[in-house]
Amino acid sequence: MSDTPQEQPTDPRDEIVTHLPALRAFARGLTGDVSAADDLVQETVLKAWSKFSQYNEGTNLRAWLFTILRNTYLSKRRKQSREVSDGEGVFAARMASKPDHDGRLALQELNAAMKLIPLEQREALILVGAMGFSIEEAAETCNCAPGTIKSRANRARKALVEILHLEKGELPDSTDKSVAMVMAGAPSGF
Amino acid sequence: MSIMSGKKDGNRKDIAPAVSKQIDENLKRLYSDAASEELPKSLTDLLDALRQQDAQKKAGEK
Repeated sequence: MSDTPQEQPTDPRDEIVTHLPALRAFARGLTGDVSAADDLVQETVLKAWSKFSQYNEGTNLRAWLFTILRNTYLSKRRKQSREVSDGEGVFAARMASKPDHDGRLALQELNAAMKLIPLEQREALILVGAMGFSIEEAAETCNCAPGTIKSRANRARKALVEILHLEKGELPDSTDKSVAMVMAGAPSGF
Repeated sequence: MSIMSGKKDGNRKDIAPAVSKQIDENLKRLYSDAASEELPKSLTDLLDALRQQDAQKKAGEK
């Protein structure tokens, strides 16, 4: 690493476009909603643009952008009153879904299940599991220790296994029964 | 905290690597749409506008 980065000084303003597809994917994972995700990406681009002077060239632009997106989402979310999963969300996810023969899950159900997982676990799993971030890069993005990312991602996977009954391999014989159990087990405020 | 699923702690049983892989692959499928779709016009327009704004600013400084 020399301190004279001579090879084509890429302007992050030009490079940003190459990260947009991944940012959109991450945004969808966080929001679980296509149009909310695109709004979030727009805001991220605007913020990034106004903060490019703070970006250290040569550092990880992708992580920098993802961090902005994440922080934007977090502050939006804080503004809205606590968004909580409801019985219907659980219901939708529980309608799942044994994987078919190829191990493919119904994506809508997976999406519904993801929404039930605490945000910090969800984001860790999206970054590491779906977006191909290294543990270190995800840690940088989420501003936490690598070990934290690892354990959050694992907890998220475990939660999905529980919600979607993945390890048991099949649904309880009566869907109604399982739903009734879920409803009974869910405190009304949950 | 209530005890989940009768087990002492979630830590005890780790999920099988195969299941974990299955989850990750399905997550990739879930989000790959967004990553492979063409960018929406609203976004590309926004970038264009920002670039133009910068260019104007620069021109103004000169």
